[in-house]
Amino acid sequence: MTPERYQRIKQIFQAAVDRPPTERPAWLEEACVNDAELRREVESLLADADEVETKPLLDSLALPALPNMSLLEPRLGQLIGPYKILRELGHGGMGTVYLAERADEQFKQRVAVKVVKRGMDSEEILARFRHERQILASLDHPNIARLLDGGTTADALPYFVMEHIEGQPIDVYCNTHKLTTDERLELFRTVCSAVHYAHQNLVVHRDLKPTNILVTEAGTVKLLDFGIAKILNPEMFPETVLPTRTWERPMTPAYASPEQVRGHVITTASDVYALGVILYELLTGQRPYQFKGHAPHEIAKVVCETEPDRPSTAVIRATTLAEAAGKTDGGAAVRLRNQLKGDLDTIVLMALRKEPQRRYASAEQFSEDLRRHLDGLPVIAREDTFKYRTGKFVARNKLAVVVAAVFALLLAGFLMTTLVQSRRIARERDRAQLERDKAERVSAFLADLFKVSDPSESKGNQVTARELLDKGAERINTELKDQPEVQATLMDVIGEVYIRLGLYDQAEKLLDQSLRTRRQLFGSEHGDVASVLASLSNLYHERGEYGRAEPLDREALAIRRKVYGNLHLSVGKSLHDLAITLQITGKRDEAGMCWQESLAIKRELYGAQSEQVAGDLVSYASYLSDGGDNDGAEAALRDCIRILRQHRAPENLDLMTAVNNLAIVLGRKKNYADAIPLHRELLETKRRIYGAQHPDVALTLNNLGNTLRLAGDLTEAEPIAREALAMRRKLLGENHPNTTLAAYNLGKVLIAKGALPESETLMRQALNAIQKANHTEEDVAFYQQGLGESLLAQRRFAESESLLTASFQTYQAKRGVRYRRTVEVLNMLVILYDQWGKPDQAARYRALLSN
Amino acid sequence: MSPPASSSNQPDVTQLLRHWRDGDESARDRLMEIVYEELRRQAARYLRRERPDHTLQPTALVHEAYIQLIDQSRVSWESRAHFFGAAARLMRRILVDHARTHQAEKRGGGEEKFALDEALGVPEGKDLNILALNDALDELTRLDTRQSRIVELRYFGGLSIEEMAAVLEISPATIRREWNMAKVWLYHQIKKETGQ
Repeated sequence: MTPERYQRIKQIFQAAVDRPPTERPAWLEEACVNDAELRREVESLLADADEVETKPLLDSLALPALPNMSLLEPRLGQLIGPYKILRELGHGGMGTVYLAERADEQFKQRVAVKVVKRGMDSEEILARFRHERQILASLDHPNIARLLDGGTTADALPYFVMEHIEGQPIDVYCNTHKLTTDERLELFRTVCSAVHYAHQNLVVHRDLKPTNILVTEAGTVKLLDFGIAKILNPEMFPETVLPTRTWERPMTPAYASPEQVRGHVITTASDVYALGVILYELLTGQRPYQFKGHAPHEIAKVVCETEPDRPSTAVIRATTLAEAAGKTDGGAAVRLRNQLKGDLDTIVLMALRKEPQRRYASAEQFSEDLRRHLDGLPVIAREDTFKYRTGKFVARNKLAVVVAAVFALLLAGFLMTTLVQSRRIARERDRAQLERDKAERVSAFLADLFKVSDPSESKGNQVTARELLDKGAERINTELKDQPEVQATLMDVIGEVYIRLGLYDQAEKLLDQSLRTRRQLFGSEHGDVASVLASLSNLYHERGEYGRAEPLDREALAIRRKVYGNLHLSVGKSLHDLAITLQITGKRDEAGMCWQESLAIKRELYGAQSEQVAGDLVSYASYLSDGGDNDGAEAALRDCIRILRQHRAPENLDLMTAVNNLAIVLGRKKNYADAIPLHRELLETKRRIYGAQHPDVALTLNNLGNTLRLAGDLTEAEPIAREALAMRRKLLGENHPNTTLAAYNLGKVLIAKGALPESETLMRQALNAIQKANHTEEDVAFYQQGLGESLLAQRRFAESESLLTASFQTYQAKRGVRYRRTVEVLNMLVILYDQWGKPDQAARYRALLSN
Repeated sequence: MSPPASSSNQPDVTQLLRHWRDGDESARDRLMEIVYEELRRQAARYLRRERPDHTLQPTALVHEAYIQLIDQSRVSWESRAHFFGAAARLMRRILVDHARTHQAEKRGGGEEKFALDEALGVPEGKDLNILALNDALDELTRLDTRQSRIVELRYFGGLSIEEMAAVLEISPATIRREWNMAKVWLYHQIKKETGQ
């Protein structure tokens, strides 16, 4: 094509575009008379133009929706929504803040407009904003700047409109007004009360810092940006956060808590921590931590692993430096140190504790303690004892940490419930109000559980999480008698926590009670009844009582079908649960039907390429592979991996799981040549993400070692299996089930290599260890087989016989004769009796095999 | 809020930008050298990082470079547009270079995905091949320099209609018309070339 030709096409194309589509053909005929080729060119362009405009996929080509369209900031006088920009107030990591006024009102209201910068996912931010705006707009407190409005600019950037505050950041205010320590404490207490108010409304700030806390000339404190950080980046579920992503969240390192820099769950306790840093700064003029570099891991190390100086020490150290430079006299500093020493040191450090649940339970309690100090009363805060030094806590108090994390998640869950319900208000106002009250009462109750308000309780003895739970369960019965709905909801919540802690009897009691209450309240056909049934079924799964789980799963499914119709996510969930139960109890055909229906529902609701479908495919593949259909499993996993790769990076956990499973299925198909590179690739990815020593790295080493062994490459397999075992011993301890499994796998390599005494030692250790740990009968059968095999190889037939027979009997009873492992043991038994010279017995087992 | 600290051994980039605006072409060359370095450094960082859920957004990089290099309180709006206009071409060069190297060392794995594939509506499920876009743009340059320049400014520099109008010194209405055709033609061309 020549440029001249192009210009000709352009001329006609642009003229045609300006005409209504109906007139185009006639016009084209006229314009392209004698040039059919030209007309075809223009027509095909016009067709593409329609495609570009109409296809949803191509929407982004249309001007207004193109991401990152304009790189220039809004300018003076320009309108953002109905707001006219007056000047820039400042900008930071998240965007720019402007002073603006509403153009269409009689009285000119001045507002602050925060425009989120490009590069952040605008659509998601907006969706979350719409989701949260009701709650944020309802925050009505004299010390919180109100969120007034929000929307998108002409360039499709999200913006928030807030009450405009003229004031100084709190630290600057304190210094320019030369406030005394007591005055600073009073001012700070106002900040606490505002934060507490927001927490009661289930809003966590997440980015508290002096520049977000302004003080007006009249001395009024105003907190800015409540809830904004969450809209910009909510991380409700910590497992979705890989270490590499930590820094993409909005936060300010100096004020970020250990859980924040690690990407763990953020709760009200994170705000309490930030308040602690702010108070530290207000009192000493120093920050608790000095960062040497800006790299996330450096900051995380400092925040998570070092202890800050006491405020009184910090004052003196800073002054000594200044004094040496001849800048100040030390007298004032010594007076300040004496003021801070004791209570204030203890109070500030209590707020700054590494473990969220060991800080003040609320901003209010923090504030109360400061009041006690100001009134000359004894304070609640106690010095940290040596046993709670950094890092040791988690190891010693796993239970408490689990409980705290679970509660945090549950609280987050209730926040979502409340929000979902508030959207329904238009349709069922009264009902929603009731639910919302209920959800709020539930979360208040839970939050209350962690508030040990009686000082005598918090002295010395730490209340264990278990005690808190038991106390909570008790209080539900006595205090909430007249509110059966709230009571039942709380029983579910605490019941779930008990399940996670392995306290099944307690969980069962509560869930049974909740089920009864709900049936009384709602009758048997109600969504809430189905949810309790699902929880109870989980409980029986944990206990290995699959037979009891099955009728519950069925009932839940039937209820949900009736209440929600067949095409509903909750029906899909029930099908998923039932499928797993049926699979375990050996009702494979029905399980397969459940999987297929579950998949069909998810395909229908979310689309064939959705992550929900991918999630089912992983389980479905396990089902297929368990039934020996490894071709089907391979296909399902490849499908799943293809879908996940569209949505996820290689480091995504679900994706890694799927790749891992594919490698294992390939191994089962004896396609080791394809399986081994997959394992190696996974190992590389994991080492990159987790570092050399990590349970997940050990897992892949274990699988790789196993596959190499099966492929017959014992020389490669042995060092890998040894590394896996050593790593697990170190990370998980000798008796952990995963350590046991690694011992078994190394044992298998050694049997194959003929290193029999060592293999026997390992297999024996494994069998002993599993019997000490939480185990099922099948677990024991598995290790009996391992030891039996080692003994068989050593021709110690009688010893081997008893182990293999026991193993066989368990598998046969639990899984039937066709199960993969049953068949393996049968084969071993046949070999055993052949070698032992007992042909009759061998024949008997051979007969079972040929069945 | 504070202007970026200018290190002592680097020339004042903001100053260079202003000189260029005033007609000093050697300032332009010097400026482009620095901007290119900065963009390349940042692109390399992004391309290495494989960020989950995020794709590279070239325009964000250009913006980042601008923030890094220029003291925004000291330049006019037109100078900004000029900066982005020039940076757009550099960005294109960097991405194409990267794609070429990458293609050379590619071993059957998935190809790098850019935010561009959303920007340019290439037929379903296909990642936009940066090289295909580059070829199509080259062809467009031969046929209609102005249109290709508009595409470049928009995709690689992220300029708005008004900003492009300032850089190219033509009316926003014309820019809009040209852009509308250019994107359709590119779509058409890439579709043809990739056999979809």
